Amino acid sequence: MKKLLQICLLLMPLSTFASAGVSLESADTSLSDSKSLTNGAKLYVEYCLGCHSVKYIRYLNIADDFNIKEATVLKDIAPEGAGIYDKMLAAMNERDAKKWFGTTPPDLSLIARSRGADSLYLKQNMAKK
Amino acid sequence: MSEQGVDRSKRQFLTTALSVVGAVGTGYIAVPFLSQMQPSTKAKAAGAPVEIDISKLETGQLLRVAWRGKPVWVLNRTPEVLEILSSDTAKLSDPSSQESDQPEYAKNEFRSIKPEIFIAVGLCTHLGCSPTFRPEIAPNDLGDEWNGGFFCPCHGSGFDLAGRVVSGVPAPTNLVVPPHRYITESRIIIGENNTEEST
Amino acid sequence: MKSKFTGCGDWVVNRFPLTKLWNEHMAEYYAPKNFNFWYFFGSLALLVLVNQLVTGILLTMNYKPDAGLAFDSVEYIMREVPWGWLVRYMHSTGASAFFIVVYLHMFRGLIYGSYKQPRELVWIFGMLLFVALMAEAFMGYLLPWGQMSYWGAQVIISLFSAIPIIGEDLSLWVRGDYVISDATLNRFFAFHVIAIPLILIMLVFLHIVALHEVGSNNPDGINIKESKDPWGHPVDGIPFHPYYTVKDIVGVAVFLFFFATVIFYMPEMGGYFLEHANFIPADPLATPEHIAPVWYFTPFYAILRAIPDKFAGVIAMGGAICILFVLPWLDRSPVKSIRYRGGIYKKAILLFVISFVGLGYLGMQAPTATATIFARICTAIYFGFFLLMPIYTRWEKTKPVPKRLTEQPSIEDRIPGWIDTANEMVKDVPVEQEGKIVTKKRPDTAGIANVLIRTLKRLKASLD
Repeated sequence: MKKLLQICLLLMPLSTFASAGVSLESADTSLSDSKSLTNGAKLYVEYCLGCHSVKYIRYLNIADDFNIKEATVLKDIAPEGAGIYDKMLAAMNERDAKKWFGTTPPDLSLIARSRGADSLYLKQNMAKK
Repeated sequence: MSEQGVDRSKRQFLTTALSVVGAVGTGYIAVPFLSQMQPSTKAKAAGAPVEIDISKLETGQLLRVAWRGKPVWVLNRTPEVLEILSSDTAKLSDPSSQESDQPEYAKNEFRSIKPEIFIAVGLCTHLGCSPTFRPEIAPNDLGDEWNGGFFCPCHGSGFDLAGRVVSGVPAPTNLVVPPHRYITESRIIIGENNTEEST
Repeated sequence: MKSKFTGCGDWVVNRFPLTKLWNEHMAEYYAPKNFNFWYFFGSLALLVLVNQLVTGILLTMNYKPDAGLAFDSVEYIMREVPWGWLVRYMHSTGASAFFIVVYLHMFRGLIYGSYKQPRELVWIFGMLLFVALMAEAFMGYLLPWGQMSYWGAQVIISLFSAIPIIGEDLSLWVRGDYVISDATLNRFFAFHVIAIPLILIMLVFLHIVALHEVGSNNPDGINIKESKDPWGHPVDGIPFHPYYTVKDIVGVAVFLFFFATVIFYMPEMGGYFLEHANFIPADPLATPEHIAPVWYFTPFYAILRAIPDKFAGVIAMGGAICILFVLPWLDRSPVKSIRYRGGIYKKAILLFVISFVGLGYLGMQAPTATATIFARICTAIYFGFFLLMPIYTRWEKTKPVPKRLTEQPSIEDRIPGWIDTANEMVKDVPVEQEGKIVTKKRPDTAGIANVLIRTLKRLKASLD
């Protein structure tokens, strides 16, 4: 009797597999590939940071977490004149954004946690095509 | 409850082993919980060194900057002031800065790296008010003995233009000189010593 | 040296009943000697409460209860406060762990009849704790000010408006505004940080004092105080310290293993402990597609949605909790423990568990037509379990209850049996390998069938 109950309780988590929708390719991110991470950061600052801030991250965090020297971050990744403690704010201010686009481009600090890394990867790949 | 068949040494071993593991575990928990109260990155960012440019600082002019939430004075002293500082040391509490707080390179007569440029934290060493800048000689309210310096209005402490405190006032020590270094002749970083790399 | 130490001790003991308290509640509190796995969860609940209190205080050092600053302050704790991420995850995992532990703790009370006379008050204090815990969790969930925080609170508080006549004003009063806003956040912060924790601590004290007054129940449901030895101690009892203090430490160690695994490797738990939508700052103008309460509220949420009328749904949801309060008076059986109950009760408990888990699952899903039908069936079973209890517990055939505690086989005793069963399902088969004939073990279908049939027979027998 108790065995049955325990089996039922243990099987409950399988319900998490009941998900509808597109099956996503794995984003396959590597947190140890310093070169790839640096490249990604550079691309983000170049193409995305104009509109999309990442306000919870400071350039210091990029140096510490990606294992890059602070001087390299300031030279290669961060925009001109940025300090190592500066937050990664968008170039565009919110009021102008609202006027030009009708809405503020969202901050992307937590986009991977709210949408999932795999669906972002899909978005990126779709954008490439 | 019967005490027969109790293996005392086994019991002692288990108690000791558990206590040791418990102590280690407590340590593992205590370290993050206590470190949690240390300054955060935001506090460290706010406390980061400040770079200033003194190329436009005229002689006799005082520049105020904020570093770690405190006012820091950068004063361009004239040759006359330097003369007074050398000669007029009789009434000072700590003329050779033995008791006061400054880096080694500021433990000299002028309390600075370069004699003309004086850098100090603009807070009275008594209870922390910010003294007023009184470079004039013998003004009405401060009397004939005043040879130029900083006067703290809260409790009447006086410092000369090298931040050295006069005797007989509440403030015990000379004005604090912050760590600083010259990047170039006119650019100074306040908050960093000579030996430190820009990390 | 000894006298100095005991000297200090004597000074305290002459002014405070330390020894008396220690003896009454630990060294000479005689608890039944047959406490099993189900008896870990009370002390674990206390451990999790302490965890929540300590990590909560640390979080309060950096959290800002202002609608414009709250979300940012949580990210600040996660990224910039030294070890802040650990404190945050301990608190969020602790909240879910609290409910897992408490549900299992309540289940123990259910199956062993720990709520029955003379422990009705222990049960009532426990139920008050449960209600206070739900309030605490609900208010705590608003504090991160994410999308799910905001809209979950919006939905649940708007339920108050379903109450006739006073509903709208009541909602307004609770919120402090026309919608969930900064006013709501600030007051929920005050309640979550100080008001309810004080109530929780007081209720825990009352709960334990009430328990110690009558003594603990046990898996056989018999009264151990009926058989005492010449020293006045129950023959089937053992002092809580050192036996159960040590046993509980083991329980704590195992619990911490799982707790740490979640905190360090899967704190989001697939979106069940930290919901994905809550990583988006609250937006009063944009509702997320799928608003669901946190997993531990979903059974009651499913009951709420199953009833077609809004107000009736609120009553049903409240009723589902209130009915637990009167459980001691619904149960008419002279027998406490499930071990000696009749088959009807056992089947009822099984149905209850299935319906509760089912409701929990359905509460997480979107309310489609089929899901609603199942939710209604499960709601009926849930209420039926309680409302029909006076009938089926009075008239069912129970088994004779022993006078003394029974001895159950331990895990070590059961292992040979498991090995035999495993061997039954496997047979030796000659197989060709590199030119030679070797015997290998292969699954034995006949053996497996036998084992299966026997297991099913045993399951059926256990429900009789």
